[in-house]
Amino acid sequence: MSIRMTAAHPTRATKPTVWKAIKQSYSAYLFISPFYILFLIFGLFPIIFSIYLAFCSWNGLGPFKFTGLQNFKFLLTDNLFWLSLYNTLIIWVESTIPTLLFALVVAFLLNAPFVRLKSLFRVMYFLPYVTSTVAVAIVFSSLFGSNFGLINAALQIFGVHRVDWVNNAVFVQIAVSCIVIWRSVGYNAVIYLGGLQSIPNELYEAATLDGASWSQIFRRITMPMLRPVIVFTVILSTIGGMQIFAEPQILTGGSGGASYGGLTSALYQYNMAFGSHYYGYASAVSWALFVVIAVFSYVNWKLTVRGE
Amino acid sequence: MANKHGSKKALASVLASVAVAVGAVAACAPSSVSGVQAQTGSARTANKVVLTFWYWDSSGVEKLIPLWNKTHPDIQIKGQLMGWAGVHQKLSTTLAAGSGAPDLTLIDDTMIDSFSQNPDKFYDLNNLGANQIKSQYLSWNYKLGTASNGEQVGLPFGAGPTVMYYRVDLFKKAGLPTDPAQVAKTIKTWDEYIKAGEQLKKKTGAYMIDTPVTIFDTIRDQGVQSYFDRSNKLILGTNPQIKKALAYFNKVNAAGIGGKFTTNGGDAQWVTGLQKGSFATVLDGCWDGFEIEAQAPQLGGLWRVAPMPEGAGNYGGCMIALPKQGKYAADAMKVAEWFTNAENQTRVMSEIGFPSTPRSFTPSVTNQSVAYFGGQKVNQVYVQAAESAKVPYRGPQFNAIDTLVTQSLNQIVTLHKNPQQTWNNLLNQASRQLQLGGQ
Repeated sequence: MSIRMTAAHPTRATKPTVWKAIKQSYSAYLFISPFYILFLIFGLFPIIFSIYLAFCSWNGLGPFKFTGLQNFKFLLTDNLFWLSLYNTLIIWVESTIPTLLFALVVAFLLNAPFVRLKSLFRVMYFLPYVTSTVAVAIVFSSLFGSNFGLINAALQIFGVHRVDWVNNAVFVQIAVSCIVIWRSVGYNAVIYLGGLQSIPNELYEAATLDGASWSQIFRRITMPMLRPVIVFTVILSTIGGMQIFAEPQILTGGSGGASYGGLTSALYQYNMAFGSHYYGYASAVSWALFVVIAVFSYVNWKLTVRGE
Repeated sequence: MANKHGSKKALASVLASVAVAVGAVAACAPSSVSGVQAQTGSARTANKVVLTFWYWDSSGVEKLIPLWNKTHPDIQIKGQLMGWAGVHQKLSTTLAAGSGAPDLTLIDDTMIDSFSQNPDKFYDLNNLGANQIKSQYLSWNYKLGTASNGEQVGLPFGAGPTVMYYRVDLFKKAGLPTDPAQVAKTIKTWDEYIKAGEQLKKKTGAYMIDTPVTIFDTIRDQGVQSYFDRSNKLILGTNPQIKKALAYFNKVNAAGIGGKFTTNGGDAQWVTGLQKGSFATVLDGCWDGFEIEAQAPQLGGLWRVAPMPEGAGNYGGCMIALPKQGKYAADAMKVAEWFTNAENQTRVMSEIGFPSTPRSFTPSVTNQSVAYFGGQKVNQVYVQAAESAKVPYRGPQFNAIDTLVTQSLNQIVTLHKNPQQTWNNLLNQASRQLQLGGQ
């Protein structure tokens, strides 16, 4: 019966499958609808509105003034915007590479048969990730304080000149990277650990029987088997790294430091909106950032696909 | 059939969960009064009206609300505490959105210019009787709440006339006078201030001021205009007061009597510097006296207050304003009048900084001696500052330009950039940036 009907109306049966599927299990869709309803109001609407805002000048209170492409023209010649992109990239590289390396080592150690109290270590390494970023940044700003910081005090004991961690461009980026590394090593280590545990034990046993060394096992078995997990963490770190905000904001008091070294794109966008009340321009900056992240994600995706 | 019944049940539970979710959202809205009234938050029943009032912590409002509610059963205030930044951000959001604003709100003096650019969003308090009571406020403070079209947007609720706090022990060690009256005579001008600072640095090693940027800010605020004139034209490069502020900033920086802290920071590094005596003076609104005491209680007896060299300005204090979305302006005005009267401003003096009402300056206030300041009658210095303070016009883009200015000055101080070149770059960037604010 049903076969005959499909044959009689081929277009009807194939085209509206999505709606049909929704109709058939509408109760399930209703169950998940609170998320979509809230997302439409608080997520999608602001996103679409910010497109309009990017072509306006608005101080947050007065009337909208349509200015056409002015914001985007300004953006292209805005040194601070380009500097903030550069800073974001530098901080991303300085934080992601050590994070993933440390995480891999930590995960490998946690997975090693000779380590005891594994779950305790796992919790300890993961703990920084669930700590509030703001609280972490405040603690780190006491460590990196220029006048009375703990690290500068230690440097002085060893006769090294104190460092202006906040205002010097190179050092503020290192300081921000340190916070990111401290916070995210554990998180990535737990992901790697999951990947390590899914590698069949027989491979290791066979390698050991054949007399392979630890480093050979790591390079020839662990790394290749872990590749998809590593790609996943790289993508996650890219998305997170492009949006880095709280760490430099707290560490530099919002300014990015006198040299602007800690001024990341997200921080610049925030300052333009809520500090300077250039809401139109801030929207333009956020859309430019969107394009940059999209390009990065595309490159990431291409690299992944090529590998598989 | 059973299946249909099952899906109906499912639908009911989904609807319930949606209702819960929407309810949660409504609870996040500024007012928890349910239904349509959530939009304005205010409500009138047969014999009483409930007004919403937005304020931030330790603003004095929280102390006065219960007093008012006890004596005014017909007009009840529902206070909503939301933090300094929260009040201003939510206020601009709700004013822009056209709904959700409270009947009464605090607005900080440093923010009032950006709100009074849109006087149509607020009731003109002159129409509600502010004209008749304006003489009870310090005139410069009342004028702060006047929009450029003459509309009165706010009533002053506390002021922050600026003074000079100084460390007695450091001054003594440097061979400088320590008695407030003597200090006032010795350090009347900025040149004298720098001279004293050089002597202090040489004898004690301590800085005179947290950062040279503070000198710039202080002298800037002693003028009639700062970055913009009354027609909102940028005068950063031409205003003689700014030129003077910049010149003294450079002098202080070159003399090495300013530290590398953030200006009147309150951040951990600054507080440590305060406690360790890294800098000998603090130039700030008189509410900072309470802050210094809270941040460095161990320095009791070592601080004194003297008038600001070359005259007081204002930093701090706030206004009570009535957004036009409120429906009960006459009732709200009664509340605003009562909160800002001399009696109540005296009552919450330590929260609001200093009263904006000269009638508060009674002998019992001025003769009060403060133990932390070595028994000095600090209010006498504050009164003198309050009565003579000057307040420059700021303009709508003040904060945006000021961010650039502070950044450039910090580059000169901490990165040793060429002052003239940095300033020229700043002028370029500032005038270029104005277009973003629609100018």
